[in-house]
Amino acid sequence: MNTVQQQRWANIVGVIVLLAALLGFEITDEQKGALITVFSLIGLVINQYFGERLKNEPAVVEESPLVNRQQGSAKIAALVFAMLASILAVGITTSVGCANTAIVQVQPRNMSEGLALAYSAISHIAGDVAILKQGGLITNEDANEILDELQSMYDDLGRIRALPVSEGELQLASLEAILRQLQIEILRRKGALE
Amino acid sequence: MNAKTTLEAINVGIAAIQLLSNLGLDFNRVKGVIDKARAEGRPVSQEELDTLANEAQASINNARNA
Repeated sequence: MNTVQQQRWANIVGVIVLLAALLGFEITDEQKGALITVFSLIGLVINQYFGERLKNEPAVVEESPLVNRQQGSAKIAALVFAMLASILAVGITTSVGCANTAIVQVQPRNMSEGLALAYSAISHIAGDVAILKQGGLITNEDANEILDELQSMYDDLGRIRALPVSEGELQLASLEAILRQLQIEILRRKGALE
Repeated sequence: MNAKTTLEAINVGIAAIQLLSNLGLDFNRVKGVIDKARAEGRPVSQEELDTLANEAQASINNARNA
């Protein structure tokens, strides 16, 4: 395995670890931040190491335009990886957290808090759908399907708000079902990113 | 890693960053509304709910037009 291939595999493994840390494990936000920071630093060191090794292989570079181009791409990829890893580390550590932990952290104590959380979850998921559409990570059909579901949930929330207080138990049960559906949408969105 | 793969990796990375920002902003905001209401010993007001509802509808509309 030559230097370019080693460097490429290092980048692939680094990205997989980062995504796994972001999306997969049931750990706290602080742990995620620490994990990604550590891997970012490791990624920077690895890329620096391979960057130095690439500099010390002039003969191969001069003899083969193809390898030269590959090494150039590898250098760019190394820089991009290091940049993204650093940005992600900062983003994770400064962000209060992902939807799962946020919903768990903010347990609604009454009807109005449940409604507030549900409206916020709809805003959040709709915003994510827009981002995924713009990034080409989700088809228009899939996006419209999710948005139709969100619109339906939004309309349901309006109806729940109009119900009399005496039907509070029913309201709460409906809200709980809606929040569960919203969480499923969040998981589906994460699947689209993976 | 060819240019196309690099571009795809960049797109995924940017999308991931935007998603994380979106998550933090949305839930920080609603948490702020709920924390304020709790501190004042009242439920979330109808005006605050209306604002959140309007934002939710606007987000859905924006996503359709994205």
